[in-house]
Amino acid sequence: MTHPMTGDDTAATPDAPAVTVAPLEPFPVCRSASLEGAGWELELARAQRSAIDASLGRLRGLAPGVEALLLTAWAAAPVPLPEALALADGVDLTALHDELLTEHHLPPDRVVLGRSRLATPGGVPLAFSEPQFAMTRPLLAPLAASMADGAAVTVLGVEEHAPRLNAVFADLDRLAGTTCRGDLTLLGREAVLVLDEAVGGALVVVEGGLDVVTEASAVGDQAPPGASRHVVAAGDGIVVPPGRSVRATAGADGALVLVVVVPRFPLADHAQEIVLQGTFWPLLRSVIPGDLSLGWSSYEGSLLEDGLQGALRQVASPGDLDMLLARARARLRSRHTAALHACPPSAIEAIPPDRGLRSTLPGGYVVHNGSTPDHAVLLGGGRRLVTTAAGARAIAVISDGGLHPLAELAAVAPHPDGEALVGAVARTLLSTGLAELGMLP
Amino acid sequence: MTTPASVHISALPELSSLRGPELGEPGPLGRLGAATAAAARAAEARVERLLPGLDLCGRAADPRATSPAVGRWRSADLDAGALGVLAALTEERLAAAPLAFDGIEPSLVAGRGARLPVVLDALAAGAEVRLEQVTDLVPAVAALGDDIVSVLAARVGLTLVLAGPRLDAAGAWHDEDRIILVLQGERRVELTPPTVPGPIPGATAGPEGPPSDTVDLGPGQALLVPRGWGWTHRGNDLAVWAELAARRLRGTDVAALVARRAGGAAPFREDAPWDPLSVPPRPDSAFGVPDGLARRFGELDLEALGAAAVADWQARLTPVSRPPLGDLLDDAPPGPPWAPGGLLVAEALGPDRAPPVGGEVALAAAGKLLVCPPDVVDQLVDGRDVPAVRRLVAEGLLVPAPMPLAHDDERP
Repeated sequence: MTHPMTGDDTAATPDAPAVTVAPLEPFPVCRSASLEGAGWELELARAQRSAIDASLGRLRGLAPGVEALLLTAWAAAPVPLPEALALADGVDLTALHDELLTEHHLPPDRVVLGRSRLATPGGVPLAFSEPQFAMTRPLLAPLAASMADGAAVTVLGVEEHAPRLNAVFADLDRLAGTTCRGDLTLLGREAVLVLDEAVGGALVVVEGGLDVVTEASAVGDQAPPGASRHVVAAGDGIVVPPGRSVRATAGADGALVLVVVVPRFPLADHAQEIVLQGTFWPLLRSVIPGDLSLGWSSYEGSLLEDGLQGALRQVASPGDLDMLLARARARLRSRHTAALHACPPSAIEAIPPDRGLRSTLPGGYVVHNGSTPDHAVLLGGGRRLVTTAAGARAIAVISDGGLHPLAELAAVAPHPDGEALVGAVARTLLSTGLAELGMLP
Repeated sequence: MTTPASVHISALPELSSLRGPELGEPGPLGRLGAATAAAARAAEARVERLLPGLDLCGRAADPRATSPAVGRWRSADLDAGALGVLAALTEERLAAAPLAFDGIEPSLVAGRGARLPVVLDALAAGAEVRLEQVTDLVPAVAALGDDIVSVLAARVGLTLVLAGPRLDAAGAWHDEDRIILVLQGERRVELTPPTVPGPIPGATAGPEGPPSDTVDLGPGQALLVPRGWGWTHRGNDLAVWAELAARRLRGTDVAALVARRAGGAAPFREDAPWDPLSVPPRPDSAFGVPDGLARRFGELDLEALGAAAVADWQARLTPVSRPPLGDLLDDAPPGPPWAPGGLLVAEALGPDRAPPVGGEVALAAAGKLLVCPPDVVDQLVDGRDVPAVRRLVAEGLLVPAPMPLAHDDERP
């Protein structure tokens, strides 16, 4: 069931805390912070634009042409991405894969043991489950034997285990507006990596080489532009848009591949959400007789008079696409890159002057339509924050992706109790994972 | 003779293209169309005869008829009475039935192992006990549910309800039609009309205000509570009734199918714009114009998609009744088995499935896809007792033909 979206319940009260945090409602009425706005909204928009520009700059600095990851259209031709391994930002992916596979406790759904063509010698399993723990550990000896015979092993979401890599993916999240993921696959001799057409992103070859064959999907009325073939050497990558299935074959020495998954947000997804949101729209609540010749009518409105097209045009009201994009950003999960040692025990009470505060939300905050110049309702990280204008200005400061001392936040929050208010905001953000601490340069 | 091995049954693919079999088309599909129409007419006749006064057939034609109605009902289950139902509710049978309680403090029933004492305590405390998956206890009501699936083209669920004698004014409202068939006990029911849902997306509140109707129900009486109406009941004795919940096709279902299938249309493949590059939307982009999404909807063949949604809905309607093994082993079934939601013709199976080859026929019912040689369709239409047809009953695509009613002419 949806909630009313009047925003009336967000009204500030005189004794309200500096900021309150609650779960995000299913279908909030919201917008992106506008550069044409005023006050805290303008500051938030500027900070988030700055964060986006900085992310783009960092990624381009690592791998020029990286924007192809986001710009290539459905089923378009793949785009070579030379020296794409730089996207790992110096992280040793070979060591990371080995370490994750052998030393970490990974839940079973994070490890994929795939075989491309050969049977396990002697039927020996490749992995075992730890009794009483929901963990899967590979059996290294049989796995090594199988790799030589063409097996493959993938660890999903490796970026979360390497802060530097996680920071790169935070930049990708920020630009794509979706949560990206890095999957690391070790391919045995002549093993084949198969990717579904729904997966869009890049293959980055860490070791070995790949023979990449892609084929355009024929789903729906898309005319398939045909197949493509590329040889990708170690250190290089190739961007494969969604809408193309991929078969990437390793050489005789195998290969290690980082698959950078960048989920897209096509119009079809917007359509599904807007229809879901329309569950309680009177026209769509109409009961429809199974026999269409009887007409489509209902006491709650009529699809007979207005027709399905009229109903959908009403449900998909002007401005909805902007709102859906804002919602998607508000639902984007946080990315954390700070270390525990950067967070002294007393930080939750008093942030030391050598530490800075940084937002953990790649999607930033969007603005609930119930906001006013004096009263901010911000949505981000799957949460809903209600605060004052001064609190929102403090949040805007840390939304540019950088580290900021508490004093800087207090300076932009002209309030009788500015320092106390900003401290309270900082504590709330730190206590809810919406911000993290880092060592200031 | 066709063997079950030549009948392939699988889940109905999401993007199947379906249509009803036409009466006039040649071959087995034409005969299937005639048989489907005849089965639907027979179901209507049974509903008119077994549920007089509720006018379900009229409501099927015009969904705007949304007032409650009281009538009578007759079936073999009513003839057997509630005693048979209560006698069958052993600890073992209760263990297999999902239970829900209403009107009782949850801690009194939660976490207790044995179910019979829990149900006893709940009824003594004045609670309403609701049992699911009990079609075997009231098979004639379940068969009536099959007929309602056909008449209303609705998803129908069956719940058996026991209401304690001390129960006072338990109430509910549902976003679906409810048909209450009383087996035992007297209840006074108060009905409250629905609130009109708001013009903007938001919560639909339950009914408010004073009741508009009061009816007294007893064994053999039926009450139709239309979608959105609230109802409360009270009484001084143990009451047992069956509830048939009928969820009909709505605009939201059609719109959801349109949205799902939009993903296969080129105009809906456009990605959301990447803001940081500030790339201006293309002239034909849906983004960047206020009514871009609405325009895109307008580019779809909504008439065809609407018809597809109706066919898809019907092909996923499942029977209420569950035939016992005995019905599948009997030598002489009473008549041709039938699909309450109808058997639809699958003309295409979506991008991931090749169409049937070699003259095979693809049919859809109960959310499943049946690929078989044409002679299976003939056997089905003719009601021939062959393994292939029995297999379809066992798989839940079809239900056995209803048993002829005893003393039919005595029915009200």
